[in-house]
Amino acid sequence: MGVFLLRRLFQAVVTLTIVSLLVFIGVFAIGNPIYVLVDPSAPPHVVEQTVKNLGLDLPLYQQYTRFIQAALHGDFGTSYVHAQPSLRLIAGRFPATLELVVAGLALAMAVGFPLGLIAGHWPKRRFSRAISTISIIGISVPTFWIALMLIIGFSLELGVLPTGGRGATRSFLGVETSLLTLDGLAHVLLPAMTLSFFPMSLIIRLTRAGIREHGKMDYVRFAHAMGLSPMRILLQYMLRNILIPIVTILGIVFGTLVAFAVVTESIFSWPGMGKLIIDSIKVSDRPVIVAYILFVVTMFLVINLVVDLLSAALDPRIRLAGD
Amino acid sequence: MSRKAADTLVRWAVALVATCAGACFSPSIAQELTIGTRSEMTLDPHHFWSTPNRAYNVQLYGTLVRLDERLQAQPMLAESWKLVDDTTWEFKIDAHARFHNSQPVTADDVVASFERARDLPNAAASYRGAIDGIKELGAVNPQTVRFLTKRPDPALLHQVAQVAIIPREIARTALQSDFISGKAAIGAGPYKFVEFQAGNRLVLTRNEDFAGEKGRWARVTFRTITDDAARVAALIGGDVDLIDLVPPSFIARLKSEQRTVVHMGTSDRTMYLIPDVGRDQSPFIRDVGGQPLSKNPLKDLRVRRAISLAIDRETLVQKVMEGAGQPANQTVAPGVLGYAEALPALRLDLAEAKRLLAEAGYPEGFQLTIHCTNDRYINDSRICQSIGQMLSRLGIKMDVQALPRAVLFPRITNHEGERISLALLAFGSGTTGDAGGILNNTIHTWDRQRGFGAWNVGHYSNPELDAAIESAAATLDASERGKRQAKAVAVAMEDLAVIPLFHSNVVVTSKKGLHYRIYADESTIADAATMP
Repeated sequence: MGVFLLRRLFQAVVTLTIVSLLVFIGVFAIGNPIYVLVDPSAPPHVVEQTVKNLGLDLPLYQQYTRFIQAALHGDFGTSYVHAQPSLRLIAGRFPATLELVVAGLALAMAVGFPLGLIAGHWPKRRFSRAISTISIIGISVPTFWIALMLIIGFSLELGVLPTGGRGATRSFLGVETSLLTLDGLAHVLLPAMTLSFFPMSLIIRLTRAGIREHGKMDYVRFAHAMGLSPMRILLQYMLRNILIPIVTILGIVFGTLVAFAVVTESIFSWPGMGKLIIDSIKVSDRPVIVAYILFVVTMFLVINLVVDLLSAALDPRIRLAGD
Repeated sequence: MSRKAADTLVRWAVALVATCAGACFSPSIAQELTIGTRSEMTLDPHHFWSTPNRAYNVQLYGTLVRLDERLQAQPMLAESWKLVDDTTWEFKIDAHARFHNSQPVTADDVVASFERARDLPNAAASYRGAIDGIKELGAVNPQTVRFLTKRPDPALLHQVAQVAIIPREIARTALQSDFISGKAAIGAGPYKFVEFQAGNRLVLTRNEDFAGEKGRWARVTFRTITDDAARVAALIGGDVDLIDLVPPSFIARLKSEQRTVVHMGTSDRTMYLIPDVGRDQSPFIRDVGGQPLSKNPLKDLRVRRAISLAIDRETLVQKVMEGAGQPANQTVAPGVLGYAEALPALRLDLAEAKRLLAEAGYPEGFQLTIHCTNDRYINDSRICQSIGQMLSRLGIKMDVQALPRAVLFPRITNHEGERISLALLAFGSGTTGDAGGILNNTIHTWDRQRGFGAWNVGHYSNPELDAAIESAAATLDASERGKRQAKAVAVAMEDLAVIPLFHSNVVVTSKKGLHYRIYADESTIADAATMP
């Protein structure tokens, strides 16, 4: 286990270094951010002075070295627009995105799992076929369209839910969350529904496929033959086996949702990381873009590690490399 | 998101609306105003110089002088000012002016604020650019501040209007995090800081001790909604009372909507084409065969006239801008000091344009590339494509290059580089309140030493005109300055140093029951919203 973790740590460092280099080159290629930020009436000598102060006139490798030196001290640059250290800025928005993604995934699991079990257990019923069709739609339809339809339906037509923004928050274990207030729940419902469609459909299909696959296996037939009730077979024996691929997928999906809840956050003006990155890209706020990508990569690395450990815990046949 | 999806959104919304009741602006909540804005405030008032930030600053922090709807200077924290000599100004601070912590506003606070604006490290859009004309400033006595300008500068008032005034202890010691938490967000404006949720909302409350005219609203909430369609949906859904920066594509629908009212006014910004007239060979012009030309056609006034005659400004405004604009015959907006009244309207005359082009020696036309941004001005790339089509009818083979401004602006403002042959730009008169900004920056010959012509990327150069522009820039008497500027503008337009297209409109939409006074620089000001 120790060797395994050490190897993962080493791989993580290598990955982060390569990614930081790639991001730097990419961000460099978008163009000089000063001209996006600076008011056109600013006199040229002030603009040039600003360029010098921010080190934007240095060649690429020098800017990169400066960045790495600062990064090793924990300083990932200060946002040009928000006047805050970029990592702190991102970390400040992270709880809102996390809240949204957790709500979305919780909804996806709460609805997707039972539906998937039904569809898998009684595959021939019409209801099950309907569930399968809906799951295909859920995977294919673009997020922004779902978001718009939900806004039209619930906010503009029925007028029961707000069109966007985050609601009132309450402190829980030191973190502000809006899931504990009624107003907060009203605001998070539509964005969470939007986010949940894709993972919900995935869960339905995976659960259904898992049941179909395991239903044909010997241990299930044997349990049937022994006279155990179908419900008990399903919940006590099959579930654990079905869960393994789902857990793996959900881990990746979680990371994807956190990194790319961008569209949902933009449409619902949800003050999370996704909206921050889109706004930062629009104004070429380089420090934030670079810090965000590194943050997301680190997050994926951690998620992959957790998923691997979880899979090993669930399936005794799995051995971690290095054991 | 796609335009079609956004259109569908609004179409459905319109179809579902029956009456105004319930979603109207009702007197019972008259004291509270919620505004949906596109730009969020940077709470540190001296970190990021931009028009939206200036609008926020003037409401929360207050400035010595504020700019009204026509961008003219009005007293705010300063009750009066006078010219001691050509380069010395004295401002007398209102004796009743108090900060939100009850401290009086003194000259030391003003000096500390200006020094912070000038020297704040790591400010990407530094306020130093806003107050470049100020050589030094100092306190004469606790109620009087003296400003010395580098040269006679009638635009000093507009520069002074950019800087928010904060208490001197905060100016000298506050950290960025103090502003964001609200601890240091103390100013002397008509509204006080209550709460800030980054990316979500800014809440202000009326400052009952404000020395001037008190704020109209007891509580103002600015909700940040950067997505245009989401902002419009928030207004129709009743979540906000007012939205700014409405894209023209939504105007027709919002007008037909029962629950909302559209407010439009002329902005100070004009869109225009800038041709390369400085070089004998221009990099993006070729002959019909694709070979480089021996001389630059745009240097010939007849070719520029032909281009101007081939552009259908009415169609541009009505179809591309959906009515949110006004055809222009000069780059100064009407109503601005220095506007040349006598200039004729620029008409569409394709036959005459073709004749002029042939007369200039290009009966077959030539190949031309037009550069523009695709993320800076409303509908900029669509305008560019329309111009491309219009000039194609003239016989010029057009190539339209729409680029992000982060790529285009550094390229064109590098005066030693390749720049462009023809580009679409816009400029406003907001920084000087008259035609001076436009003349100094876009018409005057490029002069790095003396700071002229930064945006004269076509390198138009007319020494007599330069002298006239400089003399106007040093004229402190407003009406005389206006006359001189108008003369200079007339010369520049007759010579087609730039080819004007149209003046943009400011579009703001509110719930029915609210009235809004448009600010020419697109500032979103809570007190501009009133109940009739």
